[in-house]
Amino acid sequence: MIHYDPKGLQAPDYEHPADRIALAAVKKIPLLDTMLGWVMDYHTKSGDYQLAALNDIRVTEHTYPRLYKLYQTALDRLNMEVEPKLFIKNEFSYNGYTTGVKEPYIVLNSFAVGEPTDEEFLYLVGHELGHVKSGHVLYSSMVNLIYSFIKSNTPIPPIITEGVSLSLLSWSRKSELTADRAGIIAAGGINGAEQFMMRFMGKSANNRYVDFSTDKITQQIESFDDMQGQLTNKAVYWLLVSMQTHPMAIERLREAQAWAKSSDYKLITERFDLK
Amino acid sequence: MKTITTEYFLHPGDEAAIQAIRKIPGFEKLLDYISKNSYEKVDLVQRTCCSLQLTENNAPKIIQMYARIGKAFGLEETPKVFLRRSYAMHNEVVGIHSPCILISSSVLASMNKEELETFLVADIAGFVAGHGTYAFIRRLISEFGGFLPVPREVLEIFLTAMNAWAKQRYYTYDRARMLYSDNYELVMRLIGFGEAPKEIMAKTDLDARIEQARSFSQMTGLQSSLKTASVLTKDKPWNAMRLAEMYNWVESGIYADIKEELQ
Repeated sequence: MIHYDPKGLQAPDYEHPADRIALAAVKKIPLLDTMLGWVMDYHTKSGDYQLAALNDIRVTEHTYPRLYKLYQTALDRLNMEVEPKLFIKNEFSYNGYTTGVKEPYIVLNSFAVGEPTDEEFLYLVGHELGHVKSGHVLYSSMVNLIYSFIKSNTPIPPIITEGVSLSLLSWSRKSELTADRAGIIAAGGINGAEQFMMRFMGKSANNRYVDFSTDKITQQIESFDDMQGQLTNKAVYWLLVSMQTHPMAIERLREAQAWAKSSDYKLITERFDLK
Repeated sequence: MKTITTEYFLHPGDEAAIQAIRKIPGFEKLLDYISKNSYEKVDLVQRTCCSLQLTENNAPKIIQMYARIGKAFGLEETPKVFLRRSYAMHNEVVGIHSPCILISSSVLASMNKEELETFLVADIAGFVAGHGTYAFIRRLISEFGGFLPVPREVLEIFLTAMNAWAKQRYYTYDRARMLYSDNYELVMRLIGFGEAPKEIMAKTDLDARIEQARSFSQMTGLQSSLKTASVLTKDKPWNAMRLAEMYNWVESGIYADIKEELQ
């Protein structure tokens, strides 16, 4: 159940500045408005939602009481205007997605909610809610649609299609940084985000040999920063990430930590009483 | 104990393949140069960005294990170690000049200290034996073979030959583990890791598995041909083959002689 407050937390309060700039660039793509109309229509009529509703388990106070309670916490902390339906899908990866334009819904993989702690779950579901709150879902649907379209046999010259792809994917990566910030807010701090991101980097249950405390990863983040200072390594990194929808884990971790320590985050938590 | 050098643990098939490469003048140096200035740079960036680096700070037990193993095999500086989220029950060593070890998260989750230390021997032994060169050639052919002006059939023959080498290296790993641990039952048990959950493997009778391996190694005629053909395109031998190899190596007395020489 949502308790939206018009004077409460809004997306621009925490959005990553690069996300805003990149999205503004995406909106300049010609014929975007026309295609947006098609996408909205497609999603309204598509069977995706029906598939989720039939195949996956919806999170309610009866099916997943613990997750349901945590979900309500995330909805409150993010001051959501809508309550997307939340589904759990039987899948063995740390992943989830948000889709649906007029009626957004979230699907999380069972593996992503089985092992992680409450804080990690709050971060994960908050991350997905962040996509909804910032209106990313429409544009990320566009990214998927356009990317599939231009990767198929089209008469459009590659120089244009690749240029459009790179632009859209660049925005997609920035939007993930915004969603990470939403996840931090939902989790009430950085810890859930850090530990969940460590899972992308190899953390798993029953590992007695590695200390996954995030203070021990500082040196690796510094190595990453040093690498970014060298042209060759920077070029390699760009080549590795340019066709990805998400930034690499270490970059996400660094951005999340930097923001959680910033005065912006402190102001948000104090202003909206989010501690 | 003396340093365990390659002459003691390299499987003859593995050694022959490596020597064949080394006989081509300058080829290994060329590959080292290409690897150092291309793939290894890319791999290091990728690992730093996507995988947790294991150091004395966050994984002292593992780093110390590698240090002990390195000392036993005459390696002064152990490669960088990264953790990778994987269900696979094997690690990877990537690179020739400055390799990285990628440890599978499943390996760390499944093994106790004794099992793990013996298991990790393969990573160091492989590097010392020069497997990085072969692995790099395989990688180049897999990724760029399609651009070469040779028929696909020729590439397939070449890849089959590379797979033949790739299978031999597991026999080398098993021998290296045996020399390091001197624990026959443990090494044979490690060969079975990944076949079934640990709780089930613990209940299996090792002697029965050895008997199965022996009957496998004694197959003749059509069965023998089928046995060879069944792994032609694979880069890993059947576990029964590995068990049979280790069994023969120990039972023949060769292992005992080497062990005595190393004292």
